[in-house]
Amino acid sequence: MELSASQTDALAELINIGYARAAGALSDMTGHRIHLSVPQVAIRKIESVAGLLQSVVEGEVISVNQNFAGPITGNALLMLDMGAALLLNQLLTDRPEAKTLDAAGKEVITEVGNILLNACLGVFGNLLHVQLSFAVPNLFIEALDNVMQTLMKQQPELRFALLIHTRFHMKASNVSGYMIIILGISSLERLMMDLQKWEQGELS
Amino acid sequence: MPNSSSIAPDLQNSAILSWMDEFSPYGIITTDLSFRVQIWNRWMAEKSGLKAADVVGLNLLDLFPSIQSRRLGSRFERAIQGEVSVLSTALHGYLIPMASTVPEAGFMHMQQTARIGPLTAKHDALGTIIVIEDVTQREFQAATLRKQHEREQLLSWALGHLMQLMSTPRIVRELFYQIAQHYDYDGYFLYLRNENHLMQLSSAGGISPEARVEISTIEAPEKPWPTLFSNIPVIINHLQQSTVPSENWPRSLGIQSYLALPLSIGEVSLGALCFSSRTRSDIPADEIELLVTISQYLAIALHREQTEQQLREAQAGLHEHALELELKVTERTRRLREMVSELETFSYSLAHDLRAPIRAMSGYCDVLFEDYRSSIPEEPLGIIERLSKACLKLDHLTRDLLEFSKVSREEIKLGAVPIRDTVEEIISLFPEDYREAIQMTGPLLKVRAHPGLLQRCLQNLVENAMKFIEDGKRPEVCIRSELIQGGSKIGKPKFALPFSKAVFSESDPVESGNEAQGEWVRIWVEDRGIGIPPGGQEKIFGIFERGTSSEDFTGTGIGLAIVARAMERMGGKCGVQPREGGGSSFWLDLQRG
Repeated sequence: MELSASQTDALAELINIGYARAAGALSDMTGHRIHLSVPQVAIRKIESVAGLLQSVVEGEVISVNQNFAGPITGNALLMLDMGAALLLNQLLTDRPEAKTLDAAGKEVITEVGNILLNACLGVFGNLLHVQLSFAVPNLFIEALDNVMQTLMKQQPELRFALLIHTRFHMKASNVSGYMIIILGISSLERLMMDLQKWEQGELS
Repeated sequence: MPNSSSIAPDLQNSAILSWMDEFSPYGIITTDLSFRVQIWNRWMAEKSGLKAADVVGLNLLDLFPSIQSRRLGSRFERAIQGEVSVLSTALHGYLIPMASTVPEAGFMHMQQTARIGPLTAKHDALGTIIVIEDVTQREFQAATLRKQHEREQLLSWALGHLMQLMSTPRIVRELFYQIAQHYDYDGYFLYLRNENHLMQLSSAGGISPEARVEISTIEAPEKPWPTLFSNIPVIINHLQQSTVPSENWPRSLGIQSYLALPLSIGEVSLGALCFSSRTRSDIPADEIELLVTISQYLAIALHREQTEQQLREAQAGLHEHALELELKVTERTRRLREMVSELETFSYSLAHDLRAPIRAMSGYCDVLFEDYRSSIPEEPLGIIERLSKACLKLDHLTRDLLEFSKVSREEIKLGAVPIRDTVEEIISLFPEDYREAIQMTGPLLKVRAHPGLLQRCLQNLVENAMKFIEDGKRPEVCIRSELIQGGSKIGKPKFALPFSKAVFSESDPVESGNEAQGEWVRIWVEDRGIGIPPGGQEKIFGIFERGTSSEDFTGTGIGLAIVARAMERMGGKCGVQPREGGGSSFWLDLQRG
């Protein structure tokens, strides 16, 4: 399944709204001006995600993932490589640079992932005029391959992945990662349908 | 009926609830949709000091207004809408303000990580549930590790700079900026012993210029500030509150607390370093360790600086002395050379001037012998004969001396000389029946030499070989040459100057530095003569030395001295060793031509 150009644009715009909210929350929390770039969005089959991301994400990845359920069901992840996670941690907490992600650092990344994912899923929820229910977020540090394999095994019905390239800007630095929203086919169709309606609603 | 081995769901649920209330290692709070507290588990009660009975039914956000003021109220709102929030301690510190569980950690409140989520039953929100984890101990340990790491970095930075041989006051100045970043000091003083061994303020920071002027003019700082110069590290706290008279001086500077560090190597005190604060009145003892270590390394660097300075001065002194010595030696050499030159001139002129009278004497003897033979009786005739022989000897002596002088004084240029040619020339000078006694064996190479001098050397050797033989024996001389590497290792140079035993190396065309390199040719002149008495191999090249005291052999004793001198002038060497089967083997070493 491919997204048309206008669908991609609409999705990006939608997520951007969520990002604005997340950036606002993060800025509030830390007292620093934080900005999230307009995301680049693509849709892929879940099997191809590992291959796609291998080139941009090095070594072990930190993934904060949060299942959601309701009219659409799936799993939402924020994925960063270790370097990005360490830098993000340092920028947000004003602590000196660390070589490893300690317990406190993991919590910070979990919270950031949580804020981001909540913001985006919240926007989807608004779009669909429903409540989505969220699970408690979990953080894993694993090789990219393993993460995808585990996801595919545990929830085989989730076949499609929305890949959203995410870039945080703060204090003259930037950190990149990926938000990945994994959906089953019916959820995706539902999402696309409502997206189209929203888009058309905008225009008219 | 439920199976007796499984637990009824509602029993199970109440068991779990009961566990959550009594045993949970986390704080668990639930609220209704208006945020009124429903469950306040035992952990919460114990750690907050608020009993469940006191809080149930009250609005959580009203109970703890700091939640709203820290803008965390919105998390609760969103929980009702279904969102789960994670609140990390690094970003928020805590959710519910409670007493710190690790007093020594220095936190005002217990450090917490919290999760807020919706309390739902069948997709309907009933309220919120909050789970609180106490991470104070964990954060304290992490902070301690971080501090330790920072200190280690500071230490290695300090050591790195000390290794770079910066001047000590400069190191301390930079060190102070580093230390001021990590610790709460706003002033430092560095005292060093000057050349007169008095303590002097070398540098200071964080004090007003007037104070600095005032301090630096104090002659003996040990008097007004004795603590600074104790021989062990000292912390003085709460200075402003003390009335101890020995602390009047630092107190007058507004210092609240300070750390005094001696800079000493063993018993020797090199100076003192002080870090002070006008805002902190209490320096904890654990800060002292790192700074003491740094002060010890500073002392070592200081000591090394001083030692190096002394070393440099000593070296400069030595260098000067060496230069002086060299000048003296050059001067002395010059004078000696002058003397030698004068002596050689003298001996030359002497020998030269003697020749005429000697020839006259010889001439007169001949006249007597030839013209007046008939009128002179036997005995006086014998006397005249002996007189004549003596004159001849005198003539030979002066001639040889003259030769020796010439060899010493002449300007020589070296070129490639074929040995064979020279030897053939020598052979031709001998009477015919003697020529066959001189044999040449093998290829005779070319040498770098002066043709005249080389001929003189070989001629003298051959003459000796022909002369110094046993009665009745026929002379045998054998000349050959061979290549040798490097300078000769057998024997020492045997050069003797007339009138002295000094050995000189003059500024001759041949550089003596390259002696050991390159190819050398050894010319052997071997005879079957009477040989040289043991121990005489060295002396024989001395002037006026003869291998034998016997009157049977004529010889002035200068012949070999001439050889030695000539060889020296050509940059070569000569020597002799006994020959197997009788006789002597003389050798001459010259560079290959």
